[in-house]
Amino acid sequence: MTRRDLLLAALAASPAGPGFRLTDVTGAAGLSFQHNTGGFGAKYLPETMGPGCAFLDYDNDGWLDILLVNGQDWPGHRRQRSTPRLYKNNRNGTFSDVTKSAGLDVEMYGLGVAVADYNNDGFPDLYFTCVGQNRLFRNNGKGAFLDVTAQSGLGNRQSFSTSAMWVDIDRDGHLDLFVCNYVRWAAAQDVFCSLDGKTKSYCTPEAFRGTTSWLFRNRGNGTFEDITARSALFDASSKSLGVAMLDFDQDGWPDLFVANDTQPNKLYRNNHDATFRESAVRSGVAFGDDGRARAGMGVDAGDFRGTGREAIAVTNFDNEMMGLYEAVENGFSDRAYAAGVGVPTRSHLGFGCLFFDADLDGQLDLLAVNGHIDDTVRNLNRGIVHAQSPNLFRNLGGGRFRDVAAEVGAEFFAPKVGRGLALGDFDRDGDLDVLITTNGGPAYLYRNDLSNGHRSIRFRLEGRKSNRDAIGAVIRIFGTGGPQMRTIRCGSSYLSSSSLAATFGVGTLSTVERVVVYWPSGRSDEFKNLPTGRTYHCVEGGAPGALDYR
Amino acid sequence: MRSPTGRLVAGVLFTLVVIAAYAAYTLNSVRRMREVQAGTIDQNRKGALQLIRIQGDLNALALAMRDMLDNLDGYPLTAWSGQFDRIHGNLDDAIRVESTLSGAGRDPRQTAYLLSSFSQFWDAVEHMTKLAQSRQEREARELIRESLLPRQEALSALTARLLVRNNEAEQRAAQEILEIYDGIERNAYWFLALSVAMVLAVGITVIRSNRALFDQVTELSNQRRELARQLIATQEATLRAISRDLHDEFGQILTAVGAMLKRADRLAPAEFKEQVRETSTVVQEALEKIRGLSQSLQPVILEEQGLAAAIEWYVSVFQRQNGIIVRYQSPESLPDVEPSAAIHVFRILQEALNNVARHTRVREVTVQLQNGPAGLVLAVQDAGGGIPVSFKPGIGLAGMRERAALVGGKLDIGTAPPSGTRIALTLPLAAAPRGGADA
Repeated sequence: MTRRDLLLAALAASPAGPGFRLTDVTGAAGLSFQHNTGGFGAKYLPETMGPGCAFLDYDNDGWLDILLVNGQDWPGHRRQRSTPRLYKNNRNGTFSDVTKSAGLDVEMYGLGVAVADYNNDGFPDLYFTCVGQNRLFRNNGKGAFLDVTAQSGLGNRQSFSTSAMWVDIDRDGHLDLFVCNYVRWAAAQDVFCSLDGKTKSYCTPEAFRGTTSWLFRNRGNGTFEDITARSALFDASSKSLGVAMLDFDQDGWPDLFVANDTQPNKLYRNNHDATFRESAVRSGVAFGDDGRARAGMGVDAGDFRGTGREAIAVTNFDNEMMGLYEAVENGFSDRAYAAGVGVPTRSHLGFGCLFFDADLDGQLDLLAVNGHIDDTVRNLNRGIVHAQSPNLFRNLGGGRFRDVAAEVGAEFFAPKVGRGLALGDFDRDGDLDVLITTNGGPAYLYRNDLSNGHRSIRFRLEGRKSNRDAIGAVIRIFGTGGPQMRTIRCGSSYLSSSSLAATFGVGTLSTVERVVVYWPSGRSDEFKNLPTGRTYHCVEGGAPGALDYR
Repeated sequence: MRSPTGRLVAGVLFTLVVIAAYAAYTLNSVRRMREVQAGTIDQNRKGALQLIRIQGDLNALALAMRDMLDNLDGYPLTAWSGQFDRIHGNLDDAIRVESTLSGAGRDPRQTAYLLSSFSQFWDAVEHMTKLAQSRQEREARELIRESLLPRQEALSALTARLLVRNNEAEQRAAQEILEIYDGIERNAYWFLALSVAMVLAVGITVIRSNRALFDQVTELSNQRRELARQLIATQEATLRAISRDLHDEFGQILTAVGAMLKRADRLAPAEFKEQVRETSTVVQEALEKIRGLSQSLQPVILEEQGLAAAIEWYVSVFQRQNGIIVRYQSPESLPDVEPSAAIHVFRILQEALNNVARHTRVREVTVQLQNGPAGLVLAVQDAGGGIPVSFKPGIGLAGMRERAALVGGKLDIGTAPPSGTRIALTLPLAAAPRGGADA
């Protein structure tokens, strides 16, 4: 350990410091990814939107692997071959590129990815959102994926899809698929836009028509049916970029929040019959405080106050501030400014955002990655730049946050054109590590190095009657550290998928007094006096099996 | 002299009336502005927001119908039902709120026409939906093209007209507010001018009254001082006359009696000699007392040898007569003091020492004569009980002050540490006495 490392460690451990560092281990881990936007000067809108990323354990070996989505060159402007990259965890802090052997050496203009076990076979499957045809890859359980787009009924659909999410909307035990579509765009219909009035820049979505997002019901036989219209989710006016599942009315059924760019956000309340009722305006999440529709990008939900009700965080354009909608009596109220999140995000254009307990102190923190859509923004001299630093809001309690991004690592704080964001414990040390993708640049892996001695308790759920990934399950823990809750959810953030295991920070507690798991099937399991510092594999209806962190 | 109080009270009352009148006018103007603001402008703005909301919904309907006709997504027309329902709900809400805000400013026929137009539009939408549900997509699209889109355009135009009217009403209200502001500004200037005039009038009256009062006080003060000067002069003249009479008349008589008694002693028989001598001794004592009294009343030594000698003489007399030890300190040389001023200094010393003898039980008193930076200082200081809180100055103290003022000096009466009294007279050396005892 160098003298500098010692000093930094001492700083991180000091009472005034955040108690952890996010160390850049991209190079040491062997991630040599470079995002290909396909850009050749025409500045097509999709070029500035991607890519997403994912933490997943594709081979079920207990160690999280990494998937990075990639674009490709535009037709007629071919210069290189680019595909998504799958990196297998070597269990020693390094990764190996297994893209080809995993069957993912497939060219596509990919933007995002949703990871979940849609066929309940115990292995995570992949749904890539693309410009053009989205792709569904089924995991064959032998370390490879098969493109089953056509036979699943998801083929023959051209769109500009962004975030996607697996969710069991009818609680039948089979994961359904929600896909955000952005705008109606094609290279042939691209229009000229400019930030400075001279050079072409990437257009904002006002220049294009909206298009409906999609909801596909999983028939349970490997095929899907489009129930977008039947479920009343059809909305051709939306320009959707992010989606999060939450149960805001606390009726046990998954509701959906969709972040729209320059269009009102949508909040779909589940009617329990595979249909939804839209209530964003009534609930106060459609617009910003000024009554304008903002440029919603990434989204996540989390109970950062310990009230048992989840708030919604939405990243927006610069000069719009992040939205932080807290649950109030009759809906939500944007408390971003009061919470200390508004001002630090005013000059940022945010994309991926996630709630997580970075320092394992028992309170959810909030991470957002930022980056402008166009490098000519510097010509406007508004103080807005293309590459932007992330915001890491540490929860101070009482509904207040403080941005500690600059204190947890210079490499982490370095400006970047951030897009995707995913969380997972790739080194199995109990805390959550950070994976960030950048537009037209590399992906970054930041290892969370705790110095405050805090512990966590983690739950990996396996549904039986519920969907096998237990997406939609809610875990509540009770004890001297105060109540906490996590929802097992796919999606959230932007174009990305995080590990499905639920990680609770517990400070220095050695035992959690009571844990209740509410399964999507309606069943609940309760456990008492679980020692912390380990992962519990909970099978629906069974006793928790303690594992090492995984 | 005529009192200014009446005029001042009248001025204050008039000012209060002006202020009250202006305050009432201002409050009334503000109330009118508030009425115009709340009743027209705010309501218009809220109404305009609702009309914009209606326009936004109508635009959303137009876009939805365009999408339905383009059919780029391949969805059946029934897919748009949810979108139409949401817009319908939002439109109904906007129209309801807008109608409560439009109020009396709008012709009821316009509102009725708006509601009727929307009602017809939604009837047509319902018809289109039924056609779509019965899989008559072509007929439904025809209905959108031929009926719904023109109706939507007509509703947009109607909403735009209402927005223009709202804007016109708002401009009228803004003009009315502008006029109120102008009136307030104009009257504010008047009020300011009137207030300045009132302040000037009252100020001039107060200044003139003050000046008259000061003149009167100065005159009275001068009269009082002249009276005191004359009183003291009379007193000194009287004392001088008494002293002269005692010395010249009774002194001569007693001297003659003494001389006769000396002759009678020589001629008297032996058995009367003793009685004649005793009588002669009594006469001699009476003569000395007469001379002493005469000296006290009008110390000749003051005129003949000056202030320092007179003080030294009187100190020894006081010591002898009252049995109080006097510690007398004086510089070797003293400046010349005019006899007309010296008598007042001497009288102040007499009064101060007599006060010590009368009001204290001290066995010792200090008399100090010194040249200070401000002039000659005569200080009498005792170690008695000081001046009691209940002490009321009498004629003696008043006389001392008057005498000090007559010679242009200053009399300070205070405590002397630890608990005695100190009376100090400061006599400016260059100051000539303003009036003499013999004036």
